[in-house]
Amino acid sequence: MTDEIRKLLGGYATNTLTERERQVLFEAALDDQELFDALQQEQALRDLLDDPVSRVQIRQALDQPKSAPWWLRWWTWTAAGSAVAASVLTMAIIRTQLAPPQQRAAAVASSQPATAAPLQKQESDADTRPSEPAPIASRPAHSAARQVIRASPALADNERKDFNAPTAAPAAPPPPAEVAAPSQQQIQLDASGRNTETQAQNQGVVGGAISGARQQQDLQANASQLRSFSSKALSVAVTPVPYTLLKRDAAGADQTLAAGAGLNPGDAVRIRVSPTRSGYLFLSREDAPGQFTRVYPETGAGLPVAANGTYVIPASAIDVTASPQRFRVTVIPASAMEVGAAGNLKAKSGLVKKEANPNPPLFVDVVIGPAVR
Amino acid sequence: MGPIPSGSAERTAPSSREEILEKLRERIVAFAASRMQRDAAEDLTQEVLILLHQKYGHLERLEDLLPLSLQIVRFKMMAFRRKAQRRGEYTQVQVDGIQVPDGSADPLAAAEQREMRERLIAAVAKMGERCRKMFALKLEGKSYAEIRIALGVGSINTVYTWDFRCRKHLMELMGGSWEAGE
Repeated sequence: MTDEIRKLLGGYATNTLTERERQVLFEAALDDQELFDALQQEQALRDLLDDPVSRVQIRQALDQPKSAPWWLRWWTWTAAGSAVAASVLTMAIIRTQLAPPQQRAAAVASSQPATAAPLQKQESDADTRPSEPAPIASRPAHSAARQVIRASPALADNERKDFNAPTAAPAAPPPPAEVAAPSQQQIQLDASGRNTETQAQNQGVVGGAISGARQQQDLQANASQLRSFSSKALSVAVTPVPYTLLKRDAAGADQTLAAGAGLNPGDAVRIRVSPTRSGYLFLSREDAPGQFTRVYPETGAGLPVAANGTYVIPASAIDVTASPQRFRVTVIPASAMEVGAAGNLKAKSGLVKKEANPNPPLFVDVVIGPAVR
Repeated sequence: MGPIPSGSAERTAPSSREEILEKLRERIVAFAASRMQRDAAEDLTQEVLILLHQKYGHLERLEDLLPLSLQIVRFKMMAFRRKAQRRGEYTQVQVDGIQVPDGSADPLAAAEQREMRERLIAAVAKMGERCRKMFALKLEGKSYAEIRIALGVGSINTVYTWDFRCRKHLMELMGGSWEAGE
């Protein structure tokens, strides 16, 4: 069978052939078994197309516009691009949050050189609130000793080294040229409540720091504690709660405490907080190791704050004493409050088991006390 | 009438009905033998020729006899397959269970045709735009010459080639055969 005559096969089923073409094809089929077999196969299609109903349906199918391949559909690429962009953005946010904590060291140093200052303890887990509301403890009497607050860049370096290894966080960025007290960041570690140092506290914060031997010891203890965490259960969330220390001047106005500036006993200090999340803000003071007492506001959920807003707490200034005082600034995200309320309702109804709060409180510890010169 | 593909000049057209039927017999036997036993193929061919002789004795031209024989062969082979299935040793049914035909259209043939139609519709949806356009023109009853004009093609041989490729592609989309199970 010649290829030229074979090309007429397509016209047999559709009855497209002219009289002459049909004659040529049939004559060839009588002498060519292969062509005859091909024609016999075409008969099935011809019988189908001879049916008017089938013919109309096939015509309708042909008239319908052919759907473009997926790679030619604009919305396919739009969706893919959006997905990629969202993934990149998500990864960028996650990496930013997992970046090495740049802990600002608000060191409270006394005017006496080589005097060690206490360092705030690191605690972990964010399942519970950092402190329970309690009456404000009486303030200690003013001390005559002269106190200053100064930055401690070396401490920040040590902390990065100590905390990066157990948390497997990315390499720490270089420390700022001058770490001033007004700016602050925090590390928050959620380690499923395995804080061996403070059993009563399930939330851990490394916040404002104090230079000195005590500080180094505490950092080493915290690092070893973190290394004991199993990598499976450990999750790290770095959520900054920026704050600035304000010192009341002679005119009664709050002035930003400059780097290296000192504090004297009897000075009045307030904290200016710029929370990164909207929620409720309150201030607690550590009366005993791991025992924080809420001092502002004394009752209620806390001071309602908006993200990136500026709030100065407490209402009455903190008196600087000769002995260091540890305060904790806590921000409970509004979403955490909602989740907690919903979870309580569900728990009461017995519908679901209690789950971990996806929006744990954010807090930072601020230690005000004698610093080392 | 458009130009005819080359290759037909050396062929000699059968002059009489008997000559046509003789050649048809050879082709039908060979075709049927490729799909069933030789004896059954010869019996089937004999039935086709008897039908052509008795019922369509008035047809003389090849253009009439060949398409008719192709259609009869197809129906006979379908009936043969059905009969063989009914005669199956393990598929026999009681006489009381055999339904009496009501004279309407063969439900099996209708089902096969419906299945083939659905497969064809699905296949044409996957064809390229040019093949779809060509198939649509053919279903409109256009000749190859008219299709050439409609498609704006210079040579009708190009239309023949395109149609041949489109038919081949369509058959591939349907699994290599128009009918399922062929």
